[in-house]
Amino acid sequence: MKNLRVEFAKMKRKRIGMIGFFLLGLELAWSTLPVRNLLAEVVDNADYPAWESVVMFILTLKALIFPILIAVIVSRLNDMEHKGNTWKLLQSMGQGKERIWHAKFMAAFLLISIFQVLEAIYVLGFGNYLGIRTEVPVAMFFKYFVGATVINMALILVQQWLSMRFENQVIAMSVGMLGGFSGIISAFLPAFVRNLLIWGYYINLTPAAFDATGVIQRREIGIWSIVIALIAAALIYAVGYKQMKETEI
Amino acid sequence: MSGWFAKMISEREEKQMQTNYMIQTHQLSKAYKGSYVVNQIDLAVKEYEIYGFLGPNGAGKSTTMKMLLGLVQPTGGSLSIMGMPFNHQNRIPILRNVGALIESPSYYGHLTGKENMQIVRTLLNVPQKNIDEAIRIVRMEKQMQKKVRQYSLGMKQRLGIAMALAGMPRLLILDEPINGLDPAGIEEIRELICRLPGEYGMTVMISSHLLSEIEQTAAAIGIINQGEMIFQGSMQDLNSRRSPQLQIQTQNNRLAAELLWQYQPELTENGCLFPYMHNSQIGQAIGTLYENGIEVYRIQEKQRSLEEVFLELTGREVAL
Repeated sequence: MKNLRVEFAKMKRKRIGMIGFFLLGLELAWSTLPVRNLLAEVVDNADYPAWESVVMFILTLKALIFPILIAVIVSRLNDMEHKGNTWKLLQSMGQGKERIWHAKFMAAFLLISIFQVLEAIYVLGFGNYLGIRTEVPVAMFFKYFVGATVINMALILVQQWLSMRFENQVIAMSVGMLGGFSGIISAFLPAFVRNLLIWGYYINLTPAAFDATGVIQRREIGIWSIVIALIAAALIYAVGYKQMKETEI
Repeated sequence: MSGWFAKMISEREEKQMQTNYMIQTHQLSKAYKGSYVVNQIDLAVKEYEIYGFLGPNGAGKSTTMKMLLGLVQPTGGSLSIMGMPFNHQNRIPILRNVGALIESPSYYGHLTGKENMQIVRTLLNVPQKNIDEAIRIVRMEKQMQKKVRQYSLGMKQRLGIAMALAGMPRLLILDEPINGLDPAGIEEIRELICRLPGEYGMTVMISSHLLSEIEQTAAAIGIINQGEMIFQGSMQDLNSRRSPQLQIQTQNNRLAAELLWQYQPELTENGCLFPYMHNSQIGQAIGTLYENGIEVYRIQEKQRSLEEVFLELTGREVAL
């Protein structure tokens, strides 16, 4: 708790919140425009997968934006330690690198989760604003929210490992940007290829997809991609924790 | 000095009766890929003293200090601080009593001095009065509202020392604290370090590659070269190695050196150079030269500088 408080104190003047709001705003605005036009005429049709369409568009843009958002935030949290030469200071005060690994992960996860919650609130608010008549499909919404949170967690850990391990943040940022690119591209890739890229897992959560005729159809969200992301997150956390514990400064 | 602080120092003085050495290492070693950067060194730092750790760049000073702080794991040997073996169990209790500044100062440049100190305060879980006292000791009261990236190097160094002092440690480890400072900054840091044992009951271990710096601050000295400890003792011990040499210039220096071989002369272009000689030996030597008809032009005593002693010890031409 103490270390987490310190992590938030260190963020002062880093404009992390501002960057987060900007990128989230970009994602939501970008995904809103096509959904608005698409649903305007079918919003009264109870059989149309309206809520699923909103979530689908949001998740598609999320696959591009969130890897970048995560890379930027995690990089900012770690860059200050590299630039300020503070690893030694922290460790000489009994704060091992493994503790910092945990605290930074928690701080980044909390921050990203705030944006995740805001995104989910936006989905609900936007659906209501459009006048979708049907009730929100709770199971679908739950899978979207929990799944996205778990994938966020895995991506935070990938970025944190890179940002802590390599002083030059260009490496971590490049991976984040390539991840975002591969995330959105993966929407057009066969499932087996998409499953190899953790950045593409957001697309696996989409509760609807265009069929061959260009019509949006409901589809079942595979829970296995959430499970794989969770296992990946746990593994990366454990490996990172062990590595940081053994790292000499 | 405030009351609580005086009480703390008096408690430390009582403890001094029980523990003689603040740092002790036995055969402490560190190897990277099979090559030893620190090789079987035995450090002995007494409580309340300023211990100068001297050695050329790359000698192993920083690695040794990092081992003392648990930043680097020793390959071999053992170390104890405050009489406690440095192991996983004792690590935190030891580090609570140790403050350190290793290599360059550490800071969060985007935060003010005050905010940096607050981070240290939270991590060490110390009262605000500790922070105020540390800032006062380094005389940074008026700089605390500025962002640290706007500080001069000297100010950053002083902030680094304030961070190290925040826990009011019993042991302060400073690695090259005057590196990159201007003469005024050097003088300020030197004066600050000299006050710490007497006024605050701290033991200070300070490393430098500058002999002149250590000479002016430390009472005890350890010299490390190529990972090996080549001298350890008091400054007095080191000074005693500076016993004067005798230089005799004669009409025939080569013959004089042969005649006085028992005094182990060294033939130089300025005459014969003898190790320290007593008055009686000098008398006998001059008598021998006179008996053999060698005219003596000049006799002079030559005091060796500490640099020469250091070079003799290290056997290297190094910049000091």
